[in-house]
Amino acid sequence: MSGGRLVTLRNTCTGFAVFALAAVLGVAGLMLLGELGVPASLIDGGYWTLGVLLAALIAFSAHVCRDTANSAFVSGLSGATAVVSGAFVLAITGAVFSWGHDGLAFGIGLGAGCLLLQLIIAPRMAQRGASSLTELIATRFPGRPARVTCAGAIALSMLALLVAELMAAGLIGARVLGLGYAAATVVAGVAVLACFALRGLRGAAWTRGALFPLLLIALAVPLVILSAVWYGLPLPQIAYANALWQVQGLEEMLLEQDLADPAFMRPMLTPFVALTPTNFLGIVLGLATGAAVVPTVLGLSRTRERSARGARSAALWTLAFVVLLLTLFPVAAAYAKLSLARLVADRTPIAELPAWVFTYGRLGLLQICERAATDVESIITACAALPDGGGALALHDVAIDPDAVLLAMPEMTGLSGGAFGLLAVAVLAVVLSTALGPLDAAVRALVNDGRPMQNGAPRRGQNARGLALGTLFVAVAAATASKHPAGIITVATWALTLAAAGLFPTLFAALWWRRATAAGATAGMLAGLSVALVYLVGTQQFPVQFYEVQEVISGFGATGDEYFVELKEAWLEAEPGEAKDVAWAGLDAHARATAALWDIGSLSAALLALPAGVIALVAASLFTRVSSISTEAERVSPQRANLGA
Amino acid sequence: MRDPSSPECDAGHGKRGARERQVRLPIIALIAGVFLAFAVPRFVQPLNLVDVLAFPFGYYMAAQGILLGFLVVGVISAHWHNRREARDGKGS
Repeated sequence: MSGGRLVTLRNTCTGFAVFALAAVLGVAGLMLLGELGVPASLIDGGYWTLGVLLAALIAFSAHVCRDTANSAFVSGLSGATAVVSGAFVLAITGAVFSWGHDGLAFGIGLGAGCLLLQLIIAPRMAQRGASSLTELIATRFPGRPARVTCAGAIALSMLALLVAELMAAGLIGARVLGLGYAAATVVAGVAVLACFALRGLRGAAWTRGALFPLLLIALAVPLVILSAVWYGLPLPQIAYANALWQVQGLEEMLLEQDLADPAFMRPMLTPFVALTPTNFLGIVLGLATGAAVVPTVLGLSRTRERSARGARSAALWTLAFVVLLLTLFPVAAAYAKLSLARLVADRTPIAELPAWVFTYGRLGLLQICERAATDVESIITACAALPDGGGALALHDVAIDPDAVLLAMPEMTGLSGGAFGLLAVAVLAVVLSTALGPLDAAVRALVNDGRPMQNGAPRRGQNARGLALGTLFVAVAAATASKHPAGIITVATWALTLAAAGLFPTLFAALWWRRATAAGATAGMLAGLSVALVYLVGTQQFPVQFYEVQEVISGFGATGDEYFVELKEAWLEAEPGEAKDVAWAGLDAHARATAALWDIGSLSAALLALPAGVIALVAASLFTRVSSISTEAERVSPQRANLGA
Repeated sequence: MRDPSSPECDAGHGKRGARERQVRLPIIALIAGVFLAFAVPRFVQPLNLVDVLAFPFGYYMAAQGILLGFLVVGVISAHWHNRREARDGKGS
């Protein structure tokens, strides 16, 4: 590395360190105000303001730093922040907490995605001289159909990812602002839009890397403290083995004492309880191929050197940072689960439940005895009303929203408010900043009719059009997110599945298969996207109709079949009015729970969509001729890359 | 470590072949990645019979081992391909 670049890297890293320090000092200042008697609601509001300010600062520095490329190390930091994104930070911890071992599929998927990016995508893209997905598709597969389909696939998948990010921001907003979840989502949407307007379409994405050290500190510090205090080993990734065994021991004890229901139990160490092996691998496949093609990450692997070597190093740094972060999520989940199991095993009386139970209960994120834990009296009434109620609280009586687990972890484990504050500020800033990625990608895909922008910068008038499109996207995403269509992990996985199904086969073919044609690429994208969409929308919105079609395709087990027929007959025979609605609700719920072609759940839709995309791409390519323009483009691109064009 | 996987598909294409030889499909690294991502999770139960660092080995692999394996594959592959490209660059 030359001296000048070393100085730049040092300056950038110093900037990032100062940024993280400023955030930590900000949280410390707020804590001090809390000690001086400032009301907790104001302190929580301060956390929100600080998080938004940090995100705005990142957006503003992105606007000022017009240089879109940086060293491999900095690109890696930024790439890791984009891959993990705020939504997955909350969601993966929650998935491991609620699904035990099976929740680890999400981490493996994201890690595998980074490896794919490093092995087969980033170096080849750099060699081709393409700086973005749209640019590669436009040069490799000339013509409007491929370009527009690609833009559509990007816009759709990125819109879904934006929904997941806004859901995460809404959750944090609900916790720290004390607003309802829907209102907090709208406020978060406005914050994202403000950051988008501040940054503009031309902003440098690498400044987002400044958030990685902050996120790492916010996540690692509480876990290091807990590991050191509980087990005398300040290395969370090793120390939490003790927590896993303790959780297992406590759960077995609670089962013996009838304080846990095996039907609801998701043991941390037992695989394939929540998911079948096929669905586990389907999630890994969907996230791996999705994370490898997400446009927000692809552009970042372009480093200043613009060589295959530089892109490979950037992607390798991304992988390293992602792995570092991903190994911490199961620790947070295990510590939270241990705290909850201890609470139940200690037979804590309802009147003595800790304050965090009611904090999250009032937000509707924690239920005890099937009722939101708003206050002691309502819980006592709810538990007494249960058939076996009146005794001690059982493990299955306490249901916490998985998405809130990471935020609640510091309070669950008895850490001070500062740990929560830092975590909330860091995750909020990451969520708001990483939400700009999908928003920017979706806007860029559509603002220029799918054509790549000249030198990556918008033309005159496009900024205004981009802002209008961005406002529309945020409005749609915020409206969807405020309805809470599913858990964050589900929405984020669907988003990456859509990206994988629509874009991965085509991107791979564009880079590695010369025989691929524009018609093939279009067919591949359309087929993959259609199958994924039909599967996702079908199983979620039209489960009954989907169930009937699936019976024809796959032939179903007799038991499931009979029950479905019974429910359907009950619905047909019910009198119009309330009875019919109730019957339909039962039928719909049963169909939703069992609608899965060949037992493939909606989270594993990539298992069906990816092969469909590949088959369509190969078949259509073999039936059409390679365009002379695309071969010419291929011939020119490597030269551009070598010249550093 | 020699990577015999790289297809010699560009041989005989003259100048263009020489340029494109720079980046090749890292098949061995891909196979290793696919093995880690898709084969190892299937064997969690038998692997859990062994304890590593106080973890059941199967759980450890799913939580950290596979991810660290990706990193090792990435590092070795990057090192090998960077060296190979540098050698090719000098040769051509």
